[in-house]
Amino acid sequence: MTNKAIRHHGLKNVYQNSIAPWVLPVILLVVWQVSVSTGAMQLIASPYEVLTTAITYTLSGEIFEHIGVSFFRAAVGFLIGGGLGFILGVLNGMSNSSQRYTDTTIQMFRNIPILAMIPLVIIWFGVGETAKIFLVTAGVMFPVYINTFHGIRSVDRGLLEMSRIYGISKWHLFTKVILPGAMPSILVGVRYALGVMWVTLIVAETIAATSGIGYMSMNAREFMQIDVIILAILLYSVLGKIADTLAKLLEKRLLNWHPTYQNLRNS
Amino acid sequence: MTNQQNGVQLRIENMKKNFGKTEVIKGIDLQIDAGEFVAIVGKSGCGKSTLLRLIAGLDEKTEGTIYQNDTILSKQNNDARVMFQEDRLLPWQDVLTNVGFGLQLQNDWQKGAKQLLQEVGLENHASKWPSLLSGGQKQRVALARALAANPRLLLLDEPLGALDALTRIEMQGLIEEIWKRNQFTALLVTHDVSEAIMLADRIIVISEGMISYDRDVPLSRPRERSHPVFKEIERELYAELLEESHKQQTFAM
Ligand SMILES: Nc1ncnc2c1ncn2[C@@H]1O[C@H](COP(=O)(O)OP(=O)(O)OP(=O)(O)O)[C@@H](O)[C@H]1O
Ligand SMILES: [Mg+2]
Repeated sequence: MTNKAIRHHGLKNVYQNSIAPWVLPVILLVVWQVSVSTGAMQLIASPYEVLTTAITYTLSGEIFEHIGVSFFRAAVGFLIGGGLGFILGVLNGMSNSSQRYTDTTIQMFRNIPILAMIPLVIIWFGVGETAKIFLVTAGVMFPVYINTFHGIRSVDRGLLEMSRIYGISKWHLFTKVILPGAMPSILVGVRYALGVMWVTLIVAETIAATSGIGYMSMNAREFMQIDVIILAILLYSVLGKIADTLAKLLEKRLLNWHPTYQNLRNS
Repeated sequence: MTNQQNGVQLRIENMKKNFGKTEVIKGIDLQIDAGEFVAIVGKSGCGKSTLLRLIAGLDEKTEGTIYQNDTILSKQNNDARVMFQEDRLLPWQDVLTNVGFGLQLQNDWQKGAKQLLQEVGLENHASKWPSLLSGGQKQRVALARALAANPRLLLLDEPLGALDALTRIEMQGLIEEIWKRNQFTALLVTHDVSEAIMLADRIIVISEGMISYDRDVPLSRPRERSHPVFKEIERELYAELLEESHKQQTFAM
């Protein structure tokens, strides 16, 4: 190949990898803007309006208050629920008697749809922080529990037997063999739990809250501020995307031994 | 050629093992000298792995006694290390850490592990993930790991079974060399008759859970496959193994 051909080839690659994926979104944005401006679409704000609203809210600082509150609820609920799910999963995964006593009960609770509990939760806790954190905790706990439990139970028996021969301590066995062996499954649980976390939080904040992104959106509905509602939707998407990216980074880091991730490392 | 100091002596008396109602080991008496290299051959399913697992203390015997240096062996055998057909390396630890698996309570385990890696010729692969190694290399790592605690009894359950012929011959040489140097007692289960003759001081055939054949290999080391005695033992072993399967076939009819 000549130099020119190589350069041409390189440019084509850049186009295909970095530009091509964005063509459709840009077209959609333009169509959206045009159809709102011309009045073809009603009851919706144009991208430009949403953008200005976002800037106004950012400058006034209001947006950070709502994000902060929502983030706090998500994080605290996730830590408590994920922590509980993990601990229960480890206990039941490691001990048959613990599993016999608690697994059935946990499975029973798991079948309760969390969102159906909202009225009850409001009666118990009012519309304060406890209610939201409770709901997120309950939603996050079960996926983490189940995947931790199954991850531990499905650790390669050959490896466990090998460890027995080497007479290593129980703690060593747990930290060096069982936990890493269960990690792929645990992380699947974590990612699933992150999804549940946002859904639960969005519903809870929309129905019963006096602050947070969901409240901002519900409040805007009363004044028909469609731009604010769309802004709230976008904020949730961005937060969800950030959480998912963090989870992916965690996966890449904790599973760097896994053949799936070695290809990424080499390329 | 026996290695007296390091290896353990084994005496197995009337050992039986049932899995549920099926008798797998039906009464084995066997004495193995300290430092002896014994090969165990036999048809698939005759109970070779089970015998090895009983000696390792991985399974509980139904009946009988194992004496190791005249003390009765109960539960875990801390003097023994096992190599399986699969490498059983931890995929989430690099090669060096895998080798040091049993040593990690010691402060300077890395030094010992590096030394062992050198012995199996993999010192340049210390920081790799096991999944990046070839099958033969993985078994070398597993061998180094088994040697880490300087075991007095090495139990090998078809460790070369999954390797290609050339790698296998290479590994046989390595195992023999390390056995000579470290002077442990070795028990090797294998399907490969010439591998048994190549490595063992003594060959045992197990059929239907009992010892049906037991002979010494009176060849000096290193051994030549073309040696007439080698050939003769090979013939004898094949005859024994084929006769066994013939007997079982006529039984079935
Ligand atoms: N945990 C177990 N539960 C029930 N049966 C078992 C168990 N382990 C082994 N067996 C049975 O015991 C018999 C002997 O098994 P073993 O693994 O010792 O055979 P082997 O001689 O090592 O065969 P191979 O050469 O194929 O490895 C087989 O019939 C097997 O089905
Ligand atoms: Mg076997």
